[in-house]
Formats: sequence, structure tokens, C-alpha cells
Amino acid sequence: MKIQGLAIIAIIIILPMSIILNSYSTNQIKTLDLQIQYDSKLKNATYDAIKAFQLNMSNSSTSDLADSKMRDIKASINTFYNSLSNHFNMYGYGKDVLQNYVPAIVYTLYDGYYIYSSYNNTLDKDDTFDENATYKDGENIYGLKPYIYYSCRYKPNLNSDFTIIYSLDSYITIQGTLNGEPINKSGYLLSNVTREGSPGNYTYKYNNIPITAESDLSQNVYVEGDLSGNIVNGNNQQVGSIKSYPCRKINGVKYYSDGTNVFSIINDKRYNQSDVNIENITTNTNAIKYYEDAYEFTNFVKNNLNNLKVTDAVDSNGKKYTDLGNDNPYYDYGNIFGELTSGDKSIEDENSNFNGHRLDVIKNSIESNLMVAIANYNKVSTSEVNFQMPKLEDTEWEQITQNVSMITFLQGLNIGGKIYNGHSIISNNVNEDFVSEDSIYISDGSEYHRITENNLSNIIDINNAKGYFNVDFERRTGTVSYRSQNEDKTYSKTIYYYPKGELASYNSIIDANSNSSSGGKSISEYVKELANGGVTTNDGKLAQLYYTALGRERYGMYRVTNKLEEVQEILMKE
Amino acid sequence: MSDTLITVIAIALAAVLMFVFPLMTMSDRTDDVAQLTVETATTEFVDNIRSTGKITKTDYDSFVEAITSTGNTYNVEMQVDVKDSNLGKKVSQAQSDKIGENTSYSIYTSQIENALDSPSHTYYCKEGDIVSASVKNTNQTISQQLKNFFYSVTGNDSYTIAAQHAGVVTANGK
Repeated sequence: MKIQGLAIIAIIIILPMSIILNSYSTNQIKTLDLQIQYDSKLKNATYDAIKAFQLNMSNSSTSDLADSKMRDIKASINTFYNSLSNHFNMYGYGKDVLQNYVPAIVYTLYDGYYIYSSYNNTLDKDDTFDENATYKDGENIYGLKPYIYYSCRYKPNLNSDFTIIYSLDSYITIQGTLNGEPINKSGYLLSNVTREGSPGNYTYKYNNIPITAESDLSQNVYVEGDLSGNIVNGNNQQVGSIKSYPCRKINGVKYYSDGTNVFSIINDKRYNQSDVNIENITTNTNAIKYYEDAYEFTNFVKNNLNNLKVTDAVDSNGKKYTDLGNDNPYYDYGNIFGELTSGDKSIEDENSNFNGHRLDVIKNSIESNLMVAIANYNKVSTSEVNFQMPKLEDTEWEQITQNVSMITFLQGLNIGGKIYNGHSIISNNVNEDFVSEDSIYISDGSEYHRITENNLSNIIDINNAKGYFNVDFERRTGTVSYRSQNEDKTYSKTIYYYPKGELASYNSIIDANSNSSSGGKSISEYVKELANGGVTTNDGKLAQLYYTALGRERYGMYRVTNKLEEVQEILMKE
Repeated sequence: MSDTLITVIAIALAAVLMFVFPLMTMSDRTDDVAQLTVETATTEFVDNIRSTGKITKTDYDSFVEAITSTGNTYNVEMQVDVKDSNLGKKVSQAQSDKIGENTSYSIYTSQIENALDSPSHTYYCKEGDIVSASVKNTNQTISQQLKNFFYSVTGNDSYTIAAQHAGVVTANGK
């Protein structure tokens, strides 16, 4: 054969091979490229949704109530879909289409979580024939499923059968029957609270730092109709004012005092609270109440549930988890509340039995319900994709169990030869649902700092400093509606203000690289070390500010389990 | 005479088709794979910072290791736009119904690398900061060399493998 012939054969062999290889590798590259892009888009949309949630929550005076919270979550979900469809628009996917590829969205909150997914609508018999009903019987609707608590059922003996609801911190609720008696108690578990003094005159210490009442806790607020201020509408008429008043938060409501009256604000309007004593607003004893309640509740648990073991956990049918063998979701830590009596570890420590088991309960609860929600979605979705719950990594669970978060799933989109299966988790650092350890900032009136800032106790004016909740440094809005003078139209103008107007520290808030906790210590460990010096040292004073603020804000939270009479008693007694 | 000429041309053509063409194709594919590796690694690196709120030396090292495993050398540039909300607050105090804008200042590669070499081996970001990383190859890949040889398209700064990814940090680093 001539050499030309050989060349032609070589071309015939090599050319198709290289073309095929070329198109194969190009396809693979495109697929991976799309996967990366989709991951980023999903993350961005989730972040947008969390931001919407934050904004709505922090600008609503009722955001901690369940129906208001559900409204905020639904708004946040709309933001998620809008953002996602915006990101996907150039690929031709709209919101309606994308909804078929989102099997579930989870909002993990303080003591439970919502799953947004599709469900089959079931109407009452009477409604079935109502032609005007918005949704028909048997129709598949997207919506929030009922709130699910991070709970676990225990049957330690024949006379006891109760459920413990865990939360993102050491707050627990015990409901059921304990030793034949009905029980419904909730509170914080804290190992290191000590009580001194005599009945009626007790003082409390946490990690040997005395907790005292606070005064001069003021915050700015916009009050519509207060014409002494300088807020004007578009017609240059005075409509309200932004002023600083002494403030105390109880049961999720902020009470302000103007010296003669106590009032609260709902939708920018002032409501006088004639029953409330001014003294109880200007002197804030929230922190003392927090440690007092925690002391009593912890003692109750110590005396009654000290022997409760992880192996006492049963499923909803009353069957012991230990019978499941390898499928048992709970690691056997032994006594759940063992740290309350043993001396070496505290219950608040990250590596305590209690925390280990608490995380197991949260994880198992979310995992099992989410798995069902996603699997059920197969019956509803028109996208002919087999939806499956992806396995979340340990670091992701850590993120979920540390703060209020949002988990989104996007599955089944064709990315050229492969099916996309992605999820995204974003934490919500600024929320009024949970006072986390890193949500307390220290301010001496000029700048606010993180407690972990290097040498903070000597930088700030420690004797005039206080701890504040991070949400209070976020911008708030108020709205003024007015009619135009020339046209017959109603306009609205947005008023912006900061409850706490201090500037952020460049050393710890804006640039977080001057913090001394960089060694991997948790904030609670760091503060405990500060507290070791005693309250006479600057470090000890700093720890005192932190513990007081943490207690004050936690006590001020709205909780479903709060007892209204106790709350009213605090505000009204002389 | 004409036969000899045709043979010479045929041999030259065959050499091009049998050696140079496959070589160029394969080296192009290698570049494609390298491009993909670099793009994936960059996106993962940045997205990881966005989720965790921090740049750790371990993450940075494994990122650099991943991209250099393609056999090329790269120039990695990082930038963090640190959100500064203080200026916005100051403006709002001057006129109570107006709000100021958040501004940001930038931290560049060498500053971040300094932080990575500090005892904590970490650069901490906060929610709202914008982090970006871009990677370009600094050596000439085989594909580039061949192309330069045949087409004589060259320039000192030409690069074929480049990736860039950026996004808002979604968590406070701790």
C-alpha cells in the first residue's frame, strides 16, 4: 500500500475518534459547568430568601407570633422562587416550572421547623360542594405544613411517659406524665447558676459572676403622631418623631417609658399601657429572672429526671429505639442530664451528653420528616423525576443546629446527560427567634463590639458599657401615608431608623480579624475564661455585661410556653 | 519529479495529520479538562467561603493543590469587599428620613495571605462581605505552544485557562 493510502486510513480512524472525544468532553464540561452554576444560583436564591425573612421579621412588631411568622416565611418563599426564576430566566425556567423541581423548603426555627411542600387538599364534606372555595378537594397545593417540634418521647418507667421538646440552646419543654403525675414545664438548663441569701432576698451568680438589675437601657423608636419630633411627610407636615426611650422587652413586646407613661408600639402607633409601672421599665430585672428561673428549672430536672437515659427514648408508637439495633438514630450517651450532678462538665458545654443527644433529636426529627416530604413529592410532581433526600454532611448539620436556618432543595433539572440534585443551607444570623451566644454585642455608647475583640475590657469604658442584642443594631422602617396636596392620591414615605445608633467597631464587627477567639474556642468558653478573674477585674466586668445581656434578651423572648400571669406580674407589681 | 514532490507533500501532510493534529487536539482537550478543574475548584473554594464565612489556610492550600494538579502554574488573586455599614448610619443621622448607603473597602490577596500565615491561619469574613477569586495560568500550556508555533498568535500575557467566581458571604466566620 502506498504511503498516501496509509495516511488516508489514519485520517479515517483518527478524525471520527477525535470528533467523538471532543464532543464527549465538551458535553461533560458543559454538564459540570451547569452543575456549578446551578449550585451558585440555588445558594443565591436561598440567601435572598433569608434576607427577605430577616427584613420582614425585624420590621414587624409581631414577628414572633406564629401566624405572623408563617406570613413572613411565605413571603420569604416567594422571594426564593422569584430570585430562583430570575437567576434561571435565561435558561427558560419560570417560577411555575421551577416549583416542580423544588420538593421541599425547610425553615428550622428555635424549637421546631416548618416544611414548605406540596400537599393534597382535603376539604370538609360541606365545603366540597362549595363552588366558590378557593381550592378544590383533592387538589395539590403548595403550602406550609404544620410546625414540627424538635421532640423526643421517653418512657423511663411504667408510670412515666413524656415528651421533651429541645431547642437551639438549652431551653427544653417537658410535657406528659412523670411518675404518674401530669407535667408541663419548660425552662433553661444551666449548670453553673448559684443562689445566695435568704428567701425573698436571693441573689444569683452565673460562673461566679453576680447578676444584677440594669437601668438606662434606652432604644430609639419611631412613634407616629408624636408631633414633637422632626419627621415630616411629603407635604412637609410633621407626622411623628424618632426618640430614645428607656425600654424593656418582656414576652416579645418592647415597653417604653417617656417618664409619665408606659407604652408599646404596634405598626408605628403608640399604645399606652396604663397598668404597667414605670419603675419596672426603667429598672430591668430580666436577667435576674432568667437565672432565677433557670436555677429552679434545672433543680427540678436534677431532682426528677436525673436518671433519664437515652435508651429510654421511644418512637411515636411507644417502641424503644434500642430495639432497632443499627437503625437506632440516637447514640447512647447514658444519662441525658448527667452533667447536672457530675462535677467535671457543664450541661451548657458543647460536648456534654445533653448537647450530643439534643443534636441527635433535632437531626433525626428533621431527617425523618423531610425524607417523607420529599418522597411524597414524587406523587405530586409532574416532572417525572424520582425525588430523594440527599445525605447532609456533618458540617451542614452543625450549621442547621446552630442557628435559625433555611434548607432548600432543587432536584431533577436536566443538565445535559445528568440530572441535577442540589441543596443549599443558609443560616439566619439576625433574627428575633433565638438569642445565640454570638448575638450579644458590647457597647459603651460610642461603638459596639463583639465580646471576643482583643483586649476589649481595656479599650472600652467598661463601667458605662452594656450588652445589647444584635438585632437592635439593624435598621428598622416605619411608614407614613399621606395625601398629596395637589392630586387626589395617597403616597407613602418610609422612615428609617436604628434602635441603637452606635457605629460598628472596625476591629471586631466590620473586620472580624482582631478577635481573640480565633483559636477555635467557643464564645461561652471564652467568656467563662473572662469570668475566672472575678467581677472586680475588667475582664470579669465584661463577662458580667455579657451574661446579663444574654439573660435579659433570652428572658424577653416570646415563647409559646411563657406564662402570661407571670409576665404581667413582673410588669405590674409595685 | 512530480511524483517525488507529491510524495514529499503527502509525507508532510501525513505527518501533520498523524502527529500534529492529534497532538493539538489532545492538548486542547487537556486544556479543557484543566479549565474545568480550575473552574470547579475556584467555584467550590469561593462557595465554601460564602457558606462558612472564613478563608482557612487548609482550604486555600487544597484549592491551590487542586488547580496545580492540572500541571500548570497559576496566579491566584483573591479579594474581599468588606461591607462597612457605618457610613450609612452616619448619613441617616444627619437627616432622619434619608438613609445612607453601605460602602465597602477591599482587602487583597497579599493581605489575605498574611492573615493565612498568622497563628490563626484564617481570614474571617462577615455576612454581607463579597468574596471573589480569580485564577489565570502563568505558564504556556502545550496547546498554547503548538498554536503559537503554527499560527504565530502570541503575546506575553496570553492565557487559556482562567476562572473567576464571586459572591456574597452568607455567614459570620467564627
